[in-house]
Amino acid sequence: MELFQHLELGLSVALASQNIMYCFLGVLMGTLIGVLPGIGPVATIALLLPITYGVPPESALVLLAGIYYGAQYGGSTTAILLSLPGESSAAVTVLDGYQMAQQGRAGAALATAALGSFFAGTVATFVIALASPPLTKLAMSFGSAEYFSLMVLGLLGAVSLASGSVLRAITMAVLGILLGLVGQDVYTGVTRMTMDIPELMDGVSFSALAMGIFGLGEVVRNLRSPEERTVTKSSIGRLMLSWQEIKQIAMPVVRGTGIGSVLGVLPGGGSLLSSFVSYTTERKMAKDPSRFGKGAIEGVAGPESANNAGAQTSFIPMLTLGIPSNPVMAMMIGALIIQGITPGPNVINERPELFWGVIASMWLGNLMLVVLNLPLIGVWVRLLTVPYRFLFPAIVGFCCIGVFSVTNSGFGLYVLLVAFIFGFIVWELDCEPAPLLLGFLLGPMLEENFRRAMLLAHGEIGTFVVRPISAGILLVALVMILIVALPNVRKSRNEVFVE
Amino acid sequence: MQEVRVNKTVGAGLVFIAFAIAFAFGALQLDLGTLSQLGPGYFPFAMAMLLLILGVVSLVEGLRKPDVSTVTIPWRPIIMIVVALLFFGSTIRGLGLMPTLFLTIFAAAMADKRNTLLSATCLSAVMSVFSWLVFKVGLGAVVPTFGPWLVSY
Repeated sequence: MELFQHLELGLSVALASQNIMYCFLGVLMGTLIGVLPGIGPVATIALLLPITYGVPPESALVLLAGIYYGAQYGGSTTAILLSLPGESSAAVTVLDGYQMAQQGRAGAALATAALGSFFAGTVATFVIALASPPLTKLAMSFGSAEYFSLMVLGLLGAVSLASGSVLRAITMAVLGILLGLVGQDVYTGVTRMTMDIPELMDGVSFSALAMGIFGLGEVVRNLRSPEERTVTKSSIGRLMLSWQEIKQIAMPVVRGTGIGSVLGVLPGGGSLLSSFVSYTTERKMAKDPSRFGKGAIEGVAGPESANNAGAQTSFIPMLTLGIPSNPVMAMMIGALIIQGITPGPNVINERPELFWGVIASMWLGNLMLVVLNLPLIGVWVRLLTVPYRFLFPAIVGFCCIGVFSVTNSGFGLYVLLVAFIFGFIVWELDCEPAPLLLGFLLGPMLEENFRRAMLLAHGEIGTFVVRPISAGILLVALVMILIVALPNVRKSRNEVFVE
Repeated sequence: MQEVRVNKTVGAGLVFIAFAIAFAFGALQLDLGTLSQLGPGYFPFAMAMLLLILGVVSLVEGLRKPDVSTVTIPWRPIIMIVVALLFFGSTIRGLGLMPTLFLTIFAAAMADKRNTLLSATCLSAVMSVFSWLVFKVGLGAVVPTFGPWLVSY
């Protein structure tokens, strides 16, 4: 079967000694940053983009992907032991996981999280392998008008499912598009909006922008709030699950995996949404919903499986269509572009070893995570005691070297500086910068397809709504925005994010 | 730290409008082209106009329903990080990796007043050696360990 040929090719790439090393490094770092509060995966990947510059593209993606799903694992560790979600997607794990830890069942909660995630990761790997080729084929048949509409849908989808004001998120995306257009025009070679600064000819550096807004931005926000964390004094308890517990978690894990696999593919979906939906589902299906919030093991099993499945299937739109559905995927696209690879449906045909290698490595990485997390849990707990004031100067240092090594000029540091100040201002004004990043990456592609579509349609702007597929996609985008804008959906959506 | 009261919706609107005007101005210097043959200025100009509209909507919304909230500006961290970045950007070529990084991290460490001179020095020393190993030895960065301002060839 074709599927197995693909997975075999993928495994042969993933099992190359170099890639095993990068995969291990990725999940190790991911766990580390998931455990350490105040350092998120977006910022870390931004910091590490420059390092991936010097390695082959498959190794780079294997490393970055490892960081992403590794952070999901690490985030649940702190959620269970500290009532402190290292990752936003682990927020619901706190509800029951921390209660379990208080009752001396931390070991069982950790084991549930690890096993559920591993199961979800395995299934999601197959989902990606099965869903990607047909999606790619579909995307290949698209013309520029359809592609433009698809990108509009991707952007609006990512924006509408994000937290905060939809209007501001869309506005940030538009601003991102404009920033992405700075530099040379691909068609005519004219320099655009560079303010006559020669260094801006090649455009605004993605790594400087991402590091300034996310890496350094996080540092300042963390420094503002005083550190407070207390490691649970009670013992972790045994890691083995009883037969009874295994029976209890089996169905929630399967349901969580299903929910995560589906929601992860949606633009803006991914792990956060998946874990919330899974938790609500488990609470509704439980015979005795009042146990939830008091240490129900299903409340850990479902969301932990869902967020891992969602984290993985969110790679599908990025790998097959070149459309990032969340900031982490935007970082991956950034990494590909730095490597000179244009993300999109061509990747699977032109670089099958990259495509299938990354997918196979995810399964391998999930296996490593089980080994890394369960027996070594004591080491991670000890790491939690490192104060943030010892960590953040290193982050600043890494940002500096990182930007310098990518741009190879002192000017990159000034871009970093401006991005940092800009990021602080917009974040304080409640404008989340993630849509800006998506817009920044999609901007040039949006323009290219828009111009090409208009050229083919002889200037008929109606081409986007006359062509049936394009019109259908735009309609979906419109409906999505309208739904989010409806007052009562808005209210319940806010409640979900506040919870 | 300083507490400032701002109307966030109005503030966001103003930021967006400012960017929109700047980009529209930049785009108008370029050829807009015709609809069947779009020039390099068309798409940026259209996006700038869209941004302008969205910015105005935000501004109006903020003026109609004033939501004034308090923002805390952590001056010390901001200034120390700005100093660190400016220092790094302007001296990396001259001083080289090690001295520049040492002082950059030292400046950054001073952003948190709980760091003492001693702890900042230790952090800087450890981090610059670590980064030297990763970037210079491991990844073969082209920048010299000690730059031309310190070592004459």
